[in-house]
Amino acid sequence: MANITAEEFDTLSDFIYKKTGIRFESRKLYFISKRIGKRIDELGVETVAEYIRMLRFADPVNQEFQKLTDLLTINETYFFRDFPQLQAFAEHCLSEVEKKKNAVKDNTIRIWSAGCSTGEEPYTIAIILLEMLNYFSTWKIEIIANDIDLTVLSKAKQAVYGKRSLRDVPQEYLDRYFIKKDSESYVLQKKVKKMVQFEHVNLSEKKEIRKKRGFDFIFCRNLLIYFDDISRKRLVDQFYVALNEGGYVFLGSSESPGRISTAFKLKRAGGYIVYYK
Amino acid sequence: MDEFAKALNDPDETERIYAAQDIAETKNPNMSIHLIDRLQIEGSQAVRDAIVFSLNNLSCSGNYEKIFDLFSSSDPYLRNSTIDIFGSEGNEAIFFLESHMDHADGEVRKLILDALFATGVPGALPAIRKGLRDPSVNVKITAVEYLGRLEDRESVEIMLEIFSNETEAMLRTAILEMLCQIECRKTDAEDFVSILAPYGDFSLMDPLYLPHMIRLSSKTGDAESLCSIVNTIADINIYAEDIVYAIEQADRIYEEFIKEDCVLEIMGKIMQATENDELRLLCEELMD
Repeated sequence: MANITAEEFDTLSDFIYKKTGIRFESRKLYFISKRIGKRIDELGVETVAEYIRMLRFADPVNQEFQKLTDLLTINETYFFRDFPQLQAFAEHCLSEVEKKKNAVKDNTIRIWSAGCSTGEEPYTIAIILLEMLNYFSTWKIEIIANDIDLTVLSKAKQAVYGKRSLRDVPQEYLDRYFIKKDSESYVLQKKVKKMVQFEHVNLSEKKEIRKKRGFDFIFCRNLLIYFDDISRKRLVDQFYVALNEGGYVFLGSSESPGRISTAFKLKRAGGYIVYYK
Repeated sequence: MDEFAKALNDPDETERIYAAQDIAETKNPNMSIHLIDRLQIEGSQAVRDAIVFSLNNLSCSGNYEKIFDLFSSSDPYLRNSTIDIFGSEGNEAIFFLESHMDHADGEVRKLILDALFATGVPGALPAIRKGLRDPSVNVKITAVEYLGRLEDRESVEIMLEIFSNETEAMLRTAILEMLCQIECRKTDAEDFVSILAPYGDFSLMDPLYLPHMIRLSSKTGDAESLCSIVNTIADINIYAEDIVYAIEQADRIYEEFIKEDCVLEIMGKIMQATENDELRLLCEELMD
């Protein structure tokens, strides 16, 4: 397998950063090296330098770059991940937004799941809405979920999940929203699937993300750790812009919006601190 | 460029946020003036935040005077942001900040120290040391705290001088805390003991300084001073935790410290007096 040197790592890391905003630090050399080495072997390219040249000059539609991105991004996720946060969303924030919308006779709820990976997060949100919203059929729900990785988006659209993804799903939800496919996997029911609209989006692309507006909730959990300060700040500022007044943003448990931007207000929802516009 | 400057004053909040982001991307230091001007009148916290972030990522050296004026703002966000902006300038801002350390307002001089510390560059150290000579106690305390965090051994001598001349308890406590943070020598600790306990009379030591002096004497491995200090305490229970944790710290550095008769005697007294089981257990472990 081709070995990647520190210099080659820096070159490749800069190249990826310019295209995606994702910065791989040198401590991730081992992790990145193994994956790239595997890809180079598959292509039959001799050296890492040659691979970088290929990405630069012989990949006009970014096909190979997309494959590389798919290899390098981590997609470990599961249904009902970070339950306390989802509980705050379901039991406090959602009902508050529901009441406000009812008061002004607005029947739309728009949610953005940024960096949705294989779909567990947006589908979890969809299940929560099905469970928690009163008079569900009267609501016009829009859940937009996006990711940079085409492979995971394809999996998300298939909505077939193994035990690992389903480990935190309560049994009654499993019975209600999933159909057993075989001993190892379950398929999500159509009524949940059709609630989520998947998109291929690079969250570092300024033009693309600036189009995002009018959301009541934004979820972007455990993604910002891959961004450098400037890209992270730009994205969180966009979350602020994209939220409706009173809308909520949910980041990963180790990522506080308050540390990235002072624009959001914060309050307690049950035992959880939430950030809103 | 004019387009960005115009967008920065657009009535739409979102346009102003985007303008701040776009200006940062230009990396053009000439644009920083537009950001500073807008920051002073901007009402939206989200825009202010985006502007400050941009200023932190642009060179502002041509506009230091204008940024400096924000130190006198009545808005704490602007004052704190000014610290960050100067901090992000690094070495570039040191000379400017140092040249304003004679500012008439003590609050501003304190903020200058905050900014110097925020630069995170070694060149800030001599300027922060100058804060020790400031007429304001608050500024002096800030300088002491930062020098402690920078583990500045070179300022120990001047700290001793201030400690012997000043009576302000907060300042003296800050100095002792600083000594507890840096690599402190036994002779340093003895100098401070001689001020607090003249003629070796430990009964003259102000109880306010006892916790720090307990830590300091243990930290420097001075069992004799520790025992003398503890022997002046009427109710050992009050300082039991301070004493045991200080001895524990000393035990990690000085193998013989715990074997000193007077230290063992203190531990015995604490074990008898304390109702804190955890503390008693720690004493047993240390004596084991």
